[in-house]
Amino acid sequence: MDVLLKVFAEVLNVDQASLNDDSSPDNTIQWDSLKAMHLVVAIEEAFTIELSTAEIMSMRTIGTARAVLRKKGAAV
Amino acid sequence: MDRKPLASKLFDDTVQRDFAKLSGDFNPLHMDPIYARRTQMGKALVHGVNTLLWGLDAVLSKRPEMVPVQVRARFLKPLYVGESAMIFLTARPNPTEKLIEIETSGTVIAEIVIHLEAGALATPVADRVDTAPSASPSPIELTAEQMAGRTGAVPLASVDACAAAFPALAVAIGPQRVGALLATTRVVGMECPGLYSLYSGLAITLNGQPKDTLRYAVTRYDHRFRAVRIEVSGGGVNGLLETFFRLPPTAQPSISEVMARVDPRAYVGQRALIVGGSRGLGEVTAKIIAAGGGHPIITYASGRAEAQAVADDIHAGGGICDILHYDVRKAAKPQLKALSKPATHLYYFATSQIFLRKSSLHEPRGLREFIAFYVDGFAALCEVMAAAYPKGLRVFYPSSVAVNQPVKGLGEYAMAKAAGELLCDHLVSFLPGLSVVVKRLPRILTDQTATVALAEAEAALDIMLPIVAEMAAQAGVPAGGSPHKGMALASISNEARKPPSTSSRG
Repeated sequence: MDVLLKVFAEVLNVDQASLNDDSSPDNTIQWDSLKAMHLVVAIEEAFTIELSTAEIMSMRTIGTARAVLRKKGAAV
Repeated sequence: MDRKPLASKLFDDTVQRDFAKLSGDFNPLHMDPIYARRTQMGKALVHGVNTLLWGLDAVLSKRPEMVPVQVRARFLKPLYVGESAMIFLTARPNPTEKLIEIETSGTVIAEIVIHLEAGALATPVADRVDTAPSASPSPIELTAEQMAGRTGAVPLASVDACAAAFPALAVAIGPQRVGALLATTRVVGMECPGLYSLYSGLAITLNGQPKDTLRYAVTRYDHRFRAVRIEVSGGGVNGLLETFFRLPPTAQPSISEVMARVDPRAYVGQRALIVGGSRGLGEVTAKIIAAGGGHPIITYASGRAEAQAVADDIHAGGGICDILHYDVRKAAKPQLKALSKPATHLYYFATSQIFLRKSSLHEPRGLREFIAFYVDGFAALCEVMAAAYPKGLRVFYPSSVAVNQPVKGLGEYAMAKAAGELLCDHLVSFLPGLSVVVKRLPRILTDQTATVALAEAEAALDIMLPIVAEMAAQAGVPAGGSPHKGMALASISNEARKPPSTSSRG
């Protein structure tokens, strides 16, 4: 089970199958600035980590979010 | 397949006032259009809880068997006072959940999930609050430091009033619980975060402690997003509220701060009409010109008090400033009759709301609104003013980096600004003596751009100081001021051109 995709799917209220590592605000209409904030909170709670402002601003796609989390030792 | 709405409703001023009286939430973001204009939302909002309770009541009036045990709602986009909304009910894969979507103009503005079965939500902190209820008549103005750990209580609306307003919901869950749901908007809009609040969602279980007040406790304040999570308990409900602590209206530097950075004789002789001068970039520009000995005339469409406040600040600093009512959507000439002398310079900061509520990537209505401000209104004003000052009107047109750096949600804005740039070329070619400076400005911290989301923004004063100096220098007025160093802007300047030899000019 891809926990990260599940988090994104729940917050964006979309089918998990419609998301992949290339998903971003540019190609996912539900992903607006308000949802972006909810995503950060949901990711932090799901993986028990805290993200810095720089890390948050670098997470422009699900793929880059995954890379940030891996760097922090999360099992994604 | 077309979905059929379950119900629709017009949320007009009467509905708004009645809801405010019932809930006790008189936050000016809901009640004062002039105040709301100075927020990123731009207009007065319908209370999110109003749409929530209407949605629940409408569903339960048609489907009384759907008695919720838990309600989760997200207020996704603004619904403005004067707009209509529709309700759509959708089944979910889990048969114990139903999705209610509130839509306006094809955009989902709220998502409500009702759970027919659900576990309890723990609210240990709010359960322990033992405070007399506060009934503040005006919203409390808190600072970020006051937010963490804040607790309190608010009274509930009368059960009779709740039952009258939302009858089907009151039958389903009891009028006291309706009062408790109502009280959540009073907590958010009047108490905490209070004046600078934005209610973004809730998760409420409808089997909490039957106290006759709603207690609340802030359990998390995320300074990165200014997000405030609040536990609530009482009136037969308990749960969590998700809110934001908005930025207050953006304060621009005072005249004395500006004077410290401007040569006091830099703009002597300049009479500058500053359209949209009551706040933001226009306000700062007026202060720069006044600080430099020039005479700004700032215009306002609806914020007369704000325009006067800017003028008063300038007068207090020993400068000259007049105010003028001007609406770019109306004919220019009659509105300019009040000017005693023609202006030598024009700064055009008129704008509609920049960040739109959108339901698709391209919104033709939004583009037309931007064109009205950034193209039509600008062209009409330039033609009148250039004719009145044939010696060489100098104009500043603020374009945007969004023209060549696409930003999601700003397509229509960027298109209209690009059209404005082309218009500037056109006007310079055919209006005698006219010269225009066009700059693609970066994101600047003003009311329009102040957001809870992470976003970098420049300070208006730093941006405008070198631009005002450039405008004066190229007009032959001695340049002065303290140009900000190290600023990189993409700029396009159109200099005054000689008329084509084939055209006759006076």
